Parts: sequence; C-alpha cells; structure tokens
Amino acid sequence: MTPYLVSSFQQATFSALIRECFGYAFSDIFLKEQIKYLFGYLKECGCIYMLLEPEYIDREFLEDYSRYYVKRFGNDGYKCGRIHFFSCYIDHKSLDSLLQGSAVEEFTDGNLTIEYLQKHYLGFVVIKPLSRTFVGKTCLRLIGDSGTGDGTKKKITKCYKVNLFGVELHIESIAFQEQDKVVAACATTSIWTALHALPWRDVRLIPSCSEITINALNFAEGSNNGFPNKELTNKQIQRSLDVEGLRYHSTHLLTESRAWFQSCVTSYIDSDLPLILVGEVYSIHLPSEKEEEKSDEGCYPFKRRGGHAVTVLGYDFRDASNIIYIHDDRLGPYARVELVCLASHQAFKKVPELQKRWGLAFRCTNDGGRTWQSEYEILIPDACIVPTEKKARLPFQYAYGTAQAITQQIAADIVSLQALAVNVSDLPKGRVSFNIKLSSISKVREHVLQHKLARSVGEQILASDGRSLSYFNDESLERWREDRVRILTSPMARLQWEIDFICGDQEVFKVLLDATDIPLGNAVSGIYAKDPLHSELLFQMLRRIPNDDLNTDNTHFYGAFLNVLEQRDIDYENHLNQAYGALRAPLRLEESEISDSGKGLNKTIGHYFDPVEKKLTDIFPDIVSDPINRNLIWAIGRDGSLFVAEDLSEPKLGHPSMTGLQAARIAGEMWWTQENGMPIWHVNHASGRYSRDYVTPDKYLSNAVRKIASFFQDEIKFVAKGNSRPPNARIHSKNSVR
Amino acid sequence: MVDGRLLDELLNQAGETQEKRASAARERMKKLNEELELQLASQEMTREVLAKSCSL
Repeated sequence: MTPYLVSSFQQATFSALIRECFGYAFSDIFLKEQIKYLFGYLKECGCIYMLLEPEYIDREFLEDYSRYYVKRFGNDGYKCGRIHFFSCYIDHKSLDSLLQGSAVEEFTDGNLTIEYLQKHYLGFVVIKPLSRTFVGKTCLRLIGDSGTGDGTKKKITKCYKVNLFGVELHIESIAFQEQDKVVAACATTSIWTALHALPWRDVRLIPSCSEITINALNFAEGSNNGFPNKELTNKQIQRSLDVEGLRYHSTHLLTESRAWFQSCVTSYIDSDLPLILVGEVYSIHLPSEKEEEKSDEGCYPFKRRGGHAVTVLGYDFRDASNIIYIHDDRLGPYARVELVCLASHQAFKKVPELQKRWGLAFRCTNDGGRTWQSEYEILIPDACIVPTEKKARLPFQYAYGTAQAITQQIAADIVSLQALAVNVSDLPKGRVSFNIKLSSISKVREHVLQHKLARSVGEQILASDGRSLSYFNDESLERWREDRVRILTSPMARLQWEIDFICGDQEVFKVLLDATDIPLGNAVSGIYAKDPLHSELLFQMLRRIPNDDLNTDNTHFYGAFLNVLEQRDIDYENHLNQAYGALRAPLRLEESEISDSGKGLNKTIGHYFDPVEKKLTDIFPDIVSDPINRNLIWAIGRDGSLFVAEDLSEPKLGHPSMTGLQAARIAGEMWWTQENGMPIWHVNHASGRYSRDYVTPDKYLSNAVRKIASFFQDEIKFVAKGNSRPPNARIHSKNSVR
Repeated sequence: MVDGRLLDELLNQAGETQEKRASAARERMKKLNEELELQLASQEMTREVLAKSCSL
C-alpha cells in the first residue's frame, strides 16, 4: 500500500490525485464546479504542494454509509481519501525524514519540521467514495484575515485539529461539503455547516448529513423511503434545528430592505452565529455584444433554477462594499457574493414585484479576486434562519428596535447642538450609529474590563461663552467606577444583546438587553458609559424627553431603557453611594475586635437611624472632660445609618468593633475642642479600615458631617477636618490605624 | 455632570423649546412604533414560506 502521495498543485494534478483515490473519470473531476472553485481558492491561498492520504476514515461519511450506502451493491467501501494542502515545497524524502524522526530542529535545505509544516498548512479536503459527489468535509484556511467585526468585516472560523500521520496540525476554518443528492440536499449541507460554525458545538458531535435529513423528515424508524432525499422545506430545516436542541430566529425577508439585512447579518456574524439563507436562484443569460445591441432596452433574460439554501459565514461592509461570504455547496467555502438591489438590475428592472427586492449576486474571477465578471446568478432570499442557544429567546429584531429608538431620539438633539456654536472640539461628532451582537455575560464583562477610560478629571464640554455644559469631575469619576463595578458584579442572565452606540467613530455607551427575557418584559439589564462625558450629555437629553405611554411598545425596550436611566438617579443605594461612598469591607481586623458571635466588642457604641433628643456631649461626657486623650470614632453604615463610639486603644477597639465587622461607607474620627473659647466638634475621614481609597472623600465627609450634626441636639458646630487627626492620635502615633 | 439648564438654553437657541422637542419626540416614537410593528408582522414566517423547498 502507498502510504501517501505528494504532488505539486495544479488543477490537473489536483484532479489526478482525486482520481487516485477511487479511479473515477478524470473529466468528471476536472470539470466539476466545486473542484474549479477549490482550485481557485487554494491558488489564492498560495498553495504549491499537496499530499494525498489514500485511506482515511471520515466519521460522518461512515454514518452516512451505514445508513444508506452499505446496501448499495456497487458501493466503493466506507474508506475515504484526504488531500492536504501546503504553501511550501514538500516531497517524499523530507516528509519521510520527519516521520522517521531524523528531521532537524529548524527548516533547512528541505528538511521539514512540524512548525514549518503548520506554518504552511492550508487545510484538507476529504474525498468520499462517491463517483460524482465526492467532495466531503473540507476545511481550508481563510483567504486574508478574519476581520474585526463591528460592521466592518468578519468571517466566522473555528479551530479544527488535524492529525496527519501523528503530526498534530490545526486549521482555522468552517467545514464545507457538497450535497451527495442522496442522504443530503443543499439545505442539509447548509444546516451541517451552520452546526459546525456554532462556537459552543464540539465538531466531533456534529451529526452527519444523513442524521440531519432524518431529523428534518420526522423519519419513521425502519422506513425505506427517507432516502434518496432531494429537498428540504423551510419547515423541515426548522425541525432539524429543533431536534438539535437549538432555538432558531426565523425572519421572512420579503419586505426587508437591504440595509436592514446588512444590520442583521452584521449582528449575528459578530455574535459568531451563522445564518441559513433560503431563497430562489435565477440564472442570468449574459448576452454577447451583438445580442446586447438587439436586446429589448438592454434587459437580460433570466431563468428560475429553483429553491436553494446557503450558509452565511461572513461579511465585508467596509468602504460601502456589500459583500457577504457564504458556504454554497454548489461552489465551496467562503464564496464571495454581493448584495445587489434588483430595481436597477439589467435582468429584473422590468419585473414589478422585484423592484423593492435585493439579492445575492454570484460572480466569477479568473485572476485571484482582482477583477470580477458580471453576475451569472442571483439568489433572491425568502427567509433567514439563525440557530442560536436555547436561552436566546429575544430575536435580533427587539435589540434592533431598541437601538433604533434610542438613536432616533438622541440624533435629533445632537444635530441641533452640533449646529450651535458649542465648543466643537468637545461635542460628540458625527452621525449616531450602533452595533449589536449577542454575547455571553462573561464576554460582555471581558469587554468592560478591557475598556480603558480615556477621560480624565477636569475635561468638559464648553458652550461658546465659556460656560460648562458637561464636565467630568471627581464625583463623575467615582460614579463611573461604581457603575462599572455594578456591571461587572451584578447577577445577570448569561446571554445579553450588547448594543454599542457610536458617535462618528467613537464608542459612547453600551446597553445590555437580557436575551432570555420575554418581548413584553423589562429586558434592559445594564448601561455602561464608555465615554462618561459624552454619555451623560446624551442621557440628559433623553431624560428631558417625557417618558410616557408611547415609549412602551411591543417591539422595543426604549421605555425600559429610560426606566434604568431614571433608576440610576433615584435608587436609594445609588444615593448612599453618591453621598457617602460605596461600601468597603474593613481592611483588616484586630483580634481584640472580634467576638465569637461576630458582633463588635465596643460597648460604647451608639447606632442611630434618625435624629435623637440628646446632645453628643451628653452621650459621651468623658470625651469633653478629657479632649486631649480621648476621641470618638464614627462610620456611615450600609443602610445610611450612623455609628458612633469611643475610640478605645487598650485593647484596640477601632471602627470594625463598632460596625460589627460589617462593610460600611465613609468613616473617621471625631473630637471635641475649643477655638477662640467656642466649643466645637471636629470630624475627619481618617479611618484606615474604611475610608482608605475613595477618590472624593472630602465630599462624602461633608455629607456625613451634615448628617451627624442633624442627628444630635448639640448647639455647637461640627466641622469637617479632612484627614487631620485628633490630638490624642497626633501625640501617640502618627500612623495609627483606626 | 451636565448643566441641564444650559442644555435647555442651547437647544432653545436652536429653536427647539422643551415643548417642541417633547412633541417631536412623541411623533418620532409613534412613527417608529408603527414601522416596527409592521416590520415585525411582515417578518413572521408564513405558511407559504415554510412550505417552500430547497432542492438545488
């Protein structure tokens, strides 16, 4: 047995290697559309050599074989062949050396290494033992890059591991295969490709085409009539996805604009979800120059070829291009098609019912994609079916509706402002747009965590007369940090529609919709300001528009979005965070402060929820009688209540002994003193256990001092003293931890 | 932090009083709601579309 064959890459040698597998007719191979496409694709990838593994067991074909082909009298067996492609020179001698273990560490003079082989590996094609439909599982490296998404360009890929005679290789691709017209029709291979593309599906667990067809047909066990199968209806496609335990988002595209479809494709592809596109294919007869002269007003004749299904796996909408990438089983992987409007199309301009429609134009290239010929076929889509996770209950439409509602309301005011003489360098510039994708909450949090704040305290938007319209100060920074922590730590559904709003080319804020919610729910689960200076201005514009019944609709969550904005402002906890700082756990605890029950051991504690009919000087007379050696400690609790106790040093009973070891907000010390003969309470925020890391502690202290003064009937002043220490602390220890 | 009064003042300079803005916003939302409702209804998979087959 020949273990493998190596050949240089040409269309004829490619066909010849395929013929080596099962001896099928050379012309059937050489002239096959898929082979022409694969040859062109690989040539563009830079393929120069290929290797045939003559005997390869393909799990999926084995299943198809056992379901149907095994009882075919003239079958060619269950073993497949597999051809691997390389963009480097390989030969028997160098590969044998590698397999024999005598290869050198680095590539020199034709000695292969595994790394070198991987670097030049372009993927593989499985050759099935079927005379006319032999193109099996095919994974080929992408041409160019996979893009970055967000409405620019993206192609979905997945890592496929390949074992070539014990050499571990891998390839980033999505599997392709042609329909065999027996156990699989075009819709079957389209579903099969879509299942391969789903990011959470293990490629070893993807069902074979025969199983997909059986699922779609609602197949009766033991029936002899399921195969050959020539077609699936759209309902059967949905049923097959149902059996796979998937939720599908189906959309009838009859009245949808091309722009809407582009948004839809962008969102799902950015979410790493493939779209199964079903529709009618029309072939166009391109006239010769002579025919064109004679033709009726330049109209090209066209012919309906039939219903077809393809899988959309990528898009390129950069620089006004309208390209999408599909796996079409009649061609090959990542076939480039263009979205074209039919109203102006030479073939359809006189067909009234198609004037508002658009389609996918198929074109050929003979020079590796540098120039493209006129389209020879148009696929006019009827519907798209997107397989997603079970929990993704809200389809794209609701995220799109919400994004549109927010964009429309912002855009009107921002255009008015942009037209005014506001300091233009600081106002959000350009058109308001959005990007939508379905993400897991962990991915959303990853994005939030990776986001670096580009604003610094002091930045502002100025009106032309110098007045400040929007400013980013310490308080804004503190609030932004709290919002960010809330997004990162609050419990949220695993799947979220992530809508990024953009002004010009700058991301301003992000809205999260709970994808597991119901259409009539309050699906907005969070808002994150990427640019807090601009976001706050836009939010303020939206707040000033009354939130009435019109915002409550069945098709979007604009009302829920406004409620969340409002909630951010009126939420009591938010108020406490704003007024007294976010909660902090005690930095550390002294042994002397902890009781077995977890309660604080400071017996002098007073815990106040409301003002009392007493003076602080009467509650703690010892502090007044010995102001040099004694002082109080205080803290604002989780619920905004006030803790006050005497600061006891032997044994050490600091702030946690007063709060019962619980989390609290701003905290500090308080001491009685006299200034110019007038008694006075001084209050600081010098608690090393609680107040250690606030950005705006003086603001919180001033709010706390107001609260303390309002709780007691002392007719003397309470004065905020920043981080100054009481006399006792100044004498005994400059760095004592309170 | 946004100076709401200044924001109103600036928008008023552009000829957009609070009442005008609110009324325009209501109109926009009403129109959008109608559009989206029609869109959602037309995107429903009909029996005819579900019965279409892919056979190429």
